[in-house]
Amino acid sequence: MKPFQIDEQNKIKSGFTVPEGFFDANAQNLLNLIDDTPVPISLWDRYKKPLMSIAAILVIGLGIGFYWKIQVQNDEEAHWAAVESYVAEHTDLMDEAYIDYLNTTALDSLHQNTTEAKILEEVLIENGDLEQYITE
Amino acid sequence: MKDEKAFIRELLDPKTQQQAFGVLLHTYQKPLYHHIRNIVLNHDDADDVLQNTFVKVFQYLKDFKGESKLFSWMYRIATNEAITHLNQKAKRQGFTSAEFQEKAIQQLESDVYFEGDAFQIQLQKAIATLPEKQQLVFKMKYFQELKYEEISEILGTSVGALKASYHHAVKKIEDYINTH
Repeated sequence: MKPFQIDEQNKIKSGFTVPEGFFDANAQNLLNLIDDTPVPISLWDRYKKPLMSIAAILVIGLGIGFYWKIQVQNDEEAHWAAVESYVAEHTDLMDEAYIDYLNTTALDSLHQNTTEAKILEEVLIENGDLEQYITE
Repeated sequence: MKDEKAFIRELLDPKTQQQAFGVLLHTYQKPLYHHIRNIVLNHDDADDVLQNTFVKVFQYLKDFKGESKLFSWMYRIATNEAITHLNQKAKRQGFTSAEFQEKAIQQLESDVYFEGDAFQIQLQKAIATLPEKQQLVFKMKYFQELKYEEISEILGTSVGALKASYHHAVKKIEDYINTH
């Protein structure tokens, strides 16, 4: 007997059959079934809005915090810059103040020194012996 | 089928959904049923799996990205559903999948929805000796006459590997029939 070879045979059918009218009835059943079938919503789709809201609040909060920090830093820098700039722009004022200081204190001191010299001179005139003692 | 993307949009649109799903059923119901029936062998099981397949297609259509054809995506769902159904049923009855398949073949003789003769039952027994993947390839190629390219898209295996798989399957089936 010739050995069996599948390609040399007539096509072998599976032999499976279906009840009469099965496909028509099944199509109708399936159409009714899908009408009642809820489409599942993924966790992401379900919680998308609240999650996005939380994320937006976080982003805004962090943004405000960051902006605030930068702003404070900038204010401090601006303050010291203003002081430096004021000092740089008002160097004449410092000189004037120094001159005023000299005028008031140093001249007073000089005037005081002159007064002291006059008193000493008068004392020396009145006490001729003292001059002699000093020179000796 | 007309432009597949347009057809999917019709399936997702509540206004055109009912009609589009009717077209989908009309186009794919029979080939999917026969694909499932070749795996589960029994009509009632095939009916259940077919129903689950279309419900899943309907439920997950919004996630279908169109990277493969609708046809191969549906076949993939049907294949997974059929194999899962078989494994779960075998487990419930305390059998391995191979034992359960053997039992299902024995029951074919008394199945009112099986018109095959002794030789066709012998062929089913020979197929049952193959590894799962080879069984799938043989059934899709031989009984359903799908192209290798189509099977490749459904099973995610290269055409070359499928040809080798089919060749091995045919040899094993011929050996089984010649020795039993």
